[in-house]
Amino acid sequence: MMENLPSDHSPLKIQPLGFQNEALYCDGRWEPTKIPHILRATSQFSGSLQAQWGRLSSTSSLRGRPSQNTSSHSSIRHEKVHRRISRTSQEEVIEGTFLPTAGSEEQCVANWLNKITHVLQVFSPTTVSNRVTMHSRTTNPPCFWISETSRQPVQDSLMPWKPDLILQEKLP
Amino acid sequence: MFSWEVVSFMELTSSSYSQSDSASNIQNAIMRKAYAVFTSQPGWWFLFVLSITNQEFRIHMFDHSGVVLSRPYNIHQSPCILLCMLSMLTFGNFGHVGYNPTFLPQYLTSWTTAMIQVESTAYDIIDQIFFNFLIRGWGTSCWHVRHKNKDYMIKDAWTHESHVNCKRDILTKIWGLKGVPQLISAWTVEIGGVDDQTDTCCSSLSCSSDIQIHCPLLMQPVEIPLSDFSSIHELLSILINILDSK
Repeated sequence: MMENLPSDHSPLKIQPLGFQNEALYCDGRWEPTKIPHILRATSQFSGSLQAQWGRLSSTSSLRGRPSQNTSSHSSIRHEKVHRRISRTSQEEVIEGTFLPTAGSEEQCVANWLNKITHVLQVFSPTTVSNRVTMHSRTTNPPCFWISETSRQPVQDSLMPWKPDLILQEKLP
Repeated sequence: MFSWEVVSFMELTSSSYSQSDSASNIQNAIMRKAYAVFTSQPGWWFLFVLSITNQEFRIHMFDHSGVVLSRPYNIHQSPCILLCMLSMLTFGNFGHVGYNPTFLPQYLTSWTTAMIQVESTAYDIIDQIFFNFLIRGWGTSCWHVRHKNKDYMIKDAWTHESHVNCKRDILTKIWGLKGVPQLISAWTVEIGGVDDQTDTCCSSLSCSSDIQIHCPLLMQPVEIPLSDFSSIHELLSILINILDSK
């Protein structure tokens, strides 16, 4: 089966992919707002971070703006942040280290994969899959991605295990 | 009896993929988790695991021949690979995603128990007697099953092609002896008219010396495993009974 998969240099491309008026894939990249930091294409970092910080600034949760992204694809981000010194009109520049909330990146990826799965359902054959016919085709895909196991170990075996994401079959 | 719900899992990391011997690298982490799936879902045929490391997507396939790893694909430059895999895992037939087609979990049947298909007969699973806790190799599991109020034991195992008939021949020769399992039926599982082998799904990748063939045995009677003895005295008395029966 693997030998039939196209290589990195294959001309095979996908058309822009969308889900309920949301763009998932376009211009040769997965939409950066739908995927976590670690999955974003390199050139998407600056723009997406600026957008995130724009939203943060608008809610006044942090009075400041990042001036430079110094990290690569790591989940841990080190950025210079300008902030106003309280009771003065002066600004200072500090080095900020930003950690994602535990499980937030896995949850984001699970949501992203489930949206892709919903899109793919349209293209799935109606008669071939016994899983699709066992579950109603008019409702949802027969399985879904969950990320809760990234925080809570699965105890359903002799050894506990913590996969980042699980593809779970829906029980009829 | 079992969850029978985990079709696959995915590991994510911003680090590059590492095949070093370090216990903390992603390859070893995936292997340990695949092992957990096989132990909690013993009827599993093979398992696909996905990983994204430093934006590179890989497919890991575990079966009783071992594990096969795909080359890396950048998720942005090769989105079709990811879409094909997601589509297959979500909408593919049960057999295509790793369910053992002869093993029918309870939720897939209209019966009250999970079942094992032996040729044209479905046997109710009463209990799991033994599981060898290995992915690569024979993958032996023994099941206490029942059909028409008669109890049987199914030894579900994968065997190297050079040993396919070995156990069957021995059990046939000792048939009728007291104190040894009585072979009722031995067969090679067929999927779509073809022998069920570990190279069925990845023929171009399997090393011929690693190919395992799915060869279960149906036997009687169902007894308590020898390892369940409660005292040395009981174990010795069992061994004496075996010698006496010859």
